[in-house]
Amino acid sequence: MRAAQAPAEIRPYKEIDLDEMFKDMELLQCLRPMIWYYQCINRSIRHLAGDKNFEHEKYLTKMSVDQVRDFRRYINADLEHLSMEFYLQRVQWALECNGEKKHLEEAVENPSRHPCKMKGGFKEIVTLQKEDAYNYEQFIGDTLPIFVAIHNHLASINRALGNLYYYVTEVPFSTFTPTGKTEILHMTKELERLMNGLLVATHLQRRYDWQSDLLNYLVSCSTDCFRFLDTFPHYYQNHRMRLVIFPIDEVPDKDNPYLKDELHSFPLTCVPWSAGTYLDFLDTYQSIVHHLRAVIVWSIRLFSIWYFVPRRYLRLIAPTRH
Amino acid sequence: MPNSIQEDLLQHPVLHLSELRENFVGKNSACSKRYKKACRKWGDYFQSPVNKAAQTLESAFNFNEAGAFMDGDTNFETAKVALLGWLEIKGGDDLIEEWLRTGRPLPTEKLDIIRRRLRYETLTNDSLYDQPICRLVHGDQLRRDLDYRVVYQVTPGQSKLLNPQPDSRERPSAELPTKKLNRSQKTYWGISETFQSLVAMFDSDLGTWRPSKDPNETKEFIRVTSEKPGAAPLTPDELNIYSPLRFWSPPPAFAGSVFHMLFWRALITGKDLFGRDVVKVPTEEENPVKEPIGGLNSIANRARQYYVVINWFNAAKFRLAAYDRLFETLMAIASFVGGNGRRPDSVLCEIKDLVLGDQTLTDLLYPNYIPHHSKKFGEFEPLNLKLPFKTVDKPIWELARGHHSEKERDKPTQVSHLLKFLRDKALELIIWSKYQMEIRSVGLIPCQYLYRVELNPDYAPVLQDLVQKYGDSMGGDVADTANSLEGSQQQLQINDYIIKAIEKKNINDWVILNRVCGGTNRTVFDQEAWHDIKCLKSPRAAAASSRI
Repeated sequence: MRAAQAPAEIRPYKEIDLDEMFKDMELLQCLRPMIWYYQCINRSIRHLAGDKNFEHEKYLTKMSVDQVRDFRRYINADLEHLSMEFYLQRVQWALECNGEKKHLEEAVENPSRHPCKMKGGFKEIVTLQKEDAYNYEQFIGDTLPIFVAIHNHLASINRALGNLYYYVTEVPFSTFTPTGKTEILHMTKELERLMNGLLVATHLQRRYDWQSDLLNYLVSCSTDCFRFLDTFPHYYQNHRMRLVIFPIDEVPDKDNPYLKDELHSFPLTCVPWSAGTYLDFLDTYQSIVHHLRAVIVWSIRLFSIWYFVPRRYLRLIAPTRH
Repeated sequence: MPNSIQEDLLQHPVLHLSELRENFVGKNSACSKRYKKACRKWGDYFQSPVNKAAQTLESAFNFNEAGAFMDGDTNFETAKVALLGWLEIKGGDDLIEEWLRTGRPLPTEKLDIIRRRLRYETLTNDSLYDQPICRLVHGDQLRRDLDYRVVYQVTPGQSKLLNPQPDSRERPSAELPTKKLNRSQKTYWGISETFQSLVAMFDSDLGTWRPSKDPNETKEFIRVTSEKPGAAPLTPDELNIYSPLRFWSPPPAFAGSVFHMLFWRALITGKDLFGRDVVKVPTEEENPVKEPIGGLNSIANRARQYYVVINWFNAAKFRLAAYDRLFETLMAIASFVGGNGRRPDSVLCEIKDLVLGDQTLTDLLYPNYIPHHSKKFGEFEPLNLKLPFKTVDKPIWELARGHHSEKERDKPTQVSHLLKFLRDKALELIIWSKYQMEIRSVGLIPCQYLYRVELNPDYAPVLQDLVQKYGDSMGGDVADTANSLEGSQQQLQINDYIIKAIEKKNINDWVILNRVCGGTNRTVFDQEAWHDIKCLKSPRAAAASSRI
């Protein structure tokens, strides 16, 4: 038997810092609550799944199911402002654009901040220096179906995030085996990377210098989503299904991992009584990534309205693509 | 999904109001139990919608010209009988009677009785499951999208950006629209859904910053202030400008009441409830190619500006306001103002500003999403809802003006007047609960079925006469003639005419609803009407087509 180890020191708690998260981007206010909501859920899952960096109890946000539903109502209502805020933000940028040399250098570094680099749309405002050269009527003529789609996909992502929170807090998450928890932790980290792509896609602005070629970055995010879905842990799903179909006797004490000092890693993800939840959990991750990919595709389509998009990428946004 | 009767109705190229009223409710038992029968009796057509609605309840509640519940004994008696009957209280009830007479807030046990009753009257998500809901909408709020062949109803904020015109509800300021939008969003996060509903329902009745004509009067009531230093306060009507909420109602209530409440006045006067022109003069670039039927401002053309949207309810895009919570909130505000040792004859402008913030009010007015967390969700600044009595420093509150008796005409407004004002609002809630006006859409709505309102040409001359009569009653000088005896008599005649038409049900022959587009395959049935709806014009598409 291994000697008992001294408990490791719990790392200090860090508040959610949206400014740090946004780097160079200029935030669209209507997305702020959704990002906050995602962060709360992400941190709660990591805390419960045993991530060492999120051990502090404050990382677990305590909300009831009703409160989560309330949030979603507030958040989704705010998302209705996305097209308006997007328009007003770009109009402001267009009015600030001028033809100085320094400005042109900046425009190469961060094209989305400089509508003068566009092939139409807000560029008209820069050219004519008149706000109504590209008015809201024209803007929604160009973009309304795209924003409607993005809004609906974001609302679905919010709903799925709420479900994740429900599964980890309300159902017996503690009965997931260490393998299951590791699996969840792994997927949560992957999802976080994809969510960073969502942040860029919804703002249509770069976050870091290396994302200056925004289109390239969005395409790589889309590919990343496919990779996530392709490498999804089907093995665990199948294995879990077997557990559900064949009744299993109660775990004898000698094999019960919770009665041992050293946890035994079973090759199964969850114990039978949380099997259904685990499938729902996996399914929800999958659903989030499907919606996320859809948002990225729509935002590439939005990008293609105002910027040159090489033909090889246009196939990604063709309506016939499945 | 529509059931067979609904499906059958939706196949008809023409719908009548009576069909919507009688046959358009599904087989869901919860909804058929809860949906209201349409009220037939109609009155005071040119009065406020509240009074109009109140008249249909067998004249149980009467309001004066200033919108205040009339103090007379007869009115009090009829209202008492109606209210106690509605609450199923036999004999009398002193506390409820006193509330009705003086506005003195109800104690908890009486409040519970009314709340229970209101909860029973309120629609629920279950009762609306798989049910159609309707809305009368001006063509200005619709945009059709050619790519997906669908018509959208835009949000109020979008309407504002689409038709940027000076808005009298907004304070003149150099603030950017982005800032205004953000401020409004952040403010919504600081108030509860209950207060959001109250704002949507009562708008400027909860206070406005706009100056009153009389320098001794103020129109302010509740001010939304941020705790952040230097932040500008907002009044409820300002807050409502960017609100994404719009009213909808179930088919029986819509076809029986709501449609008439909104449509006939606009048709005859040419102005809607908010004083906006029904027919907008087209600009040069949208100059219509064809002449509208009967001329631009003809009655037929006015009717054609309106559309009826039928959508299926879903809990994601539609919200139900809880009347019981709204009522409780008004009562809690009244208790707060009238309590704490304040006498009914205390003069408002001498009372220190009150921040609505005792325990009951905090639960009702402010969101309560993370009780165990040190921070509010989304890190929005905490807000205060304030009654700025001392700050405003005006002796008379215009909202409670209707409760000043002849003797008190120029005397300062007192707590008792304000309590009566809050009682009126609570009575309004009871009235509205009978019209099931609590469904609100959130944001941009794709229209599932769209119908255009058309006047039957056989009846157009009759209505044209009414329009003529209205024009005569208004005469050249609106202020003078409208108040004249002759003018008001003519308006009464118009009212009588419309009331009788609604009562005899022959209103069905006057208007028809022509199917424009909709259905699973988003079919366009009426090309002409379809083309009359403003199209989302893409400059790219225009440029591309010109190249071809």
